Amino acid sequence: MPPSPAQFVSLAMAERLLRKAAAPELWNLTAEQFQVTLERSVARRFSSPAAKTPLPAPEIERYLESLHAAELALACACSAGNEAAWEHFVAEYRPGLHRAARAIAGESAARELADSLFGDLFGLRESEGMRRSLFDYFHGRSKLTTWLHAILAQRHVDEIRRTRRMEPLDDPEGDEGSAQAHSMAHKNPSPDPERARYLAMTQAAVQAALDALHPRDRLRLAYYYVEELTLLEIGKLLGEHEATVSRKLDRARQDVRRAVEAALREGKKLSASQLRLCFEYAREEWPFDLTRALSATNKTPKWRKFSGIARTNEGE
Amino acid sequence: MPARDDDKAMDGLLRRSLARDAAKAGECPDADILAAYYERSLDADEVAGYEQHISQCALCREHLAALVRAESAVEIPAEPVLVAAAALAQPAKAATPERVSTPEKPAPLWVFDWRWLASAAAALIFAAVVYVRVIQHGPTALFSRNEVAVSKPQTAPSPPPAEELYAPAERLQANHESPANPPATLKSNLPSLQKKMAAPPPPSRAEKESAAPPAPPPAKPAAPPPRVSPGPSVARTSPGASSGFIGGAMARRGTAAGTAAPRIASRQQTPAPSTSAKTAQSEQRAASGTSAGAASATAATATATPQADAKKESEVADASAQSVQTTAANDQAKAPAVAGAPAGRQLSSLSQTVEVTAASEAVYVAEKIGALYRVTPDGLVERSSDGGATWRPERLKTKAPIVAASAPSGEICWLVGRDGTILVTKNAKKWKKIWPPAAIDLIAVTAQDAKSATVTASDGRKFSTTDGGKTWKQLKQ
Repeated sequence: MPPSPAQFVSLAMAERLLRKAAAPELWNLTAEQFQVTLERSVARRFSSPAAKTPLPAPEIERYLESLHAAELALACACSAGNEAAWEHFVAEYRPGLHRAARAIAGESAARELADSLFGDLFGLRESEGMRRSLFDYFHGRSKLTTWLHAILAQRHVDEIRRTRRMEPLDDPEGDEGSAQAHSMAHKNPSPDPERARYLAMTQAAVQAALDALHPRDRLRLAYYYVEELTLLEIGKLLGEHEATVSRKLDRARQDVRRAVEAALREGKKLSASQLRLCFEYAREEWPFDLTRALSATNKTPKWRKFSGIARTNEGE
Repeated sequence: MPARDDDKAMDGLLRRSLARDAAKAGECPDADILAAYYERSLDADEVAGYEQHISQCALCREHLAALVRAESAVEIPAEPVLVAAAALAQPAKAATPERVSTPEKPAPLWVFDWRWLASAAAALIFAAVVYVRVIQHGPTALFSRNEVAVSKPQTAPSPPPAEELYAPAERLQANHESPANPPATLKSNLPSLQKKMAAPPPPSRAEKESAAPPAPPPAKPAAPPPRVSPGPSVARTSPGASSGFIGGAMARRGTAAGTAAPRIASRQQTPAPSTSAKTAQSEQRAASGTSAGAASATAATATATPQADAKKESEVADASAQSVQTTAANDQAKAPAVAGAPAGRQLSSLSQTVEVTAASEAVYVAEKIGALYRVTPDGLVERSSDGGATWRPERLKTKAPIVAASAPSGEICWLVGRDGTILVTKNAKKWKKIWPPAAIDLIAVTAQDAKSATVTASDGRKFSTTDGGKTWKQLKQ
């Protein structure tokens, strides 16, 4: 539900931003319409409970100035059902959107993913008898293309997760620990009776060390080990250079390792040989070949060039 | 157990532990926030809060991973030649109000199929690079130094017809005005640079042609073949010709709206005159050093380094007339996209602008060390220590293509390029990487000194710094 028109954004401010957006007259976008869109954006930004009330005007003005006014105007006009604006949007954004869909979902599912998004943007859905366009949820805080790509990414990942829930439980990727433990039991006819305890201790120590990391360090590790992003991609997400990502990844991993060793040695009073056993069992239980993991994807393994981590993994 | 096995164990443990993060349903940011987070346009407090969440939320990480892959796929630069052709085919592609009244239908999807596009573009790019290097350095530029002595131009690959590469250029050729007069200022510091160069300067082209040496070397005839079109070759072959240098500053063509137009137009208008006409034109350019046109800095090229012109003249004369025509067509092809569009359009169409302007060159003169620098069409920076006879790639702390440059003095130079790349040198030797104001492609830079500069991002935002890039301030537009 849009907020009342004059709560945060004056009509004069809306007119000024509309001029800044340089929306063509053909779009028939009025300052009142744009004001409603701006109001919605401001309300969205400052809707958190911690937000100060009433909001200081300079802060609102600074926020409004930071918006992508031209693209917000396009979204507003498209949401209002202007045909010229919609044609402009299709002409300008459709090719890139299909390219992004192909990058996310592959050739086969890309068309459906993109067309579904176009349908929602056009306003095929109805809510309470009214046509609702997905453009209503664009608040101008990013480029329109980035927002569209984010929606594509979200929809694709959500669909994958939905599908994953339907897959059989014996999928080795789904529960690799149990499956591989089962296989290891066959490989190891006489396992160490302490093996399970060592593994549990090691796992708990790693989890504790990860929880103690700074969020950005944890993010780097997760992007690298779980999402299998390249250093360049991680750098784009975190605003860092590849070399910086590589260096900080290496440092974070060393920190985790030191913390795990300290926890096992001092907390659990394990000897050096027991410590070695912990790592050996972990390696057998949860093997992780980063080289294979990355080559399984369709990406160029750029990390090879940079990472000390990569070198250690290629050591064999 | 060896240390590397411990590392492998740690890798597996890390992956397993991090992969067990659950999705925190209900708290995840929506697409608007994720997009803004990716573009780093959130406030600092928001970033801290969302990063805290994302670091623990597997779902958000997956969303962002898919987003960055999509962005990376879309950001893959279209090859310059194809982009130039596309820009010509659809000159009003940019999001302008005029365009709305006559919206064009989107191109067929198969056009953007990267599988064939990549291979075709690579072949065309290779051909374009070969031409540019042949035109710039003569045929020997294709070979290493050792090979130059024994290799001659006939070994250079034969170029495909220019019409195939830049056919759309012909349709827009008529839209261009006659060139502005050559700019007034030649390099005021060029004489000092020449003194610092070790090699004695060869005679200027005018002297060479008027003096008519009594016994020209048999291997290289004094007069070039009459069929060679001198316009592009004159502009291309000498370092001065390829430079946009005025007063020691690097004038990067096309990086700012308006700067590219005069140069390209002037080269475009050179209608392949005869040798004598070329000489007269050259002399006229040399004499017209005071005519106006500060914006047409790059057009002040032909007379900048006459000795280099003379040095390269015979080599270029050996090049086939077809390749020279290709260059002319090349210039014509680039001209509409660079010179014909207003600034707003250039900014609104990032990749096209970048790629097209990247085909231009610039030279910046580092007086103290007697070196020349230029930005190559493929975004590299090259350095010459012998007045432009030979060029070597400059080692920079980036692999991103350089797009624009600005040199407020003979020692200071700022470079900007893709992925927020900013490099600056204070002594023309070491390049320092500057942290960008945003992780976005940068398309222009205007530097005042080593500390102060203004960069323009691909989305039109401008940022300025007065402390060497430690802090940036966004300028109001």
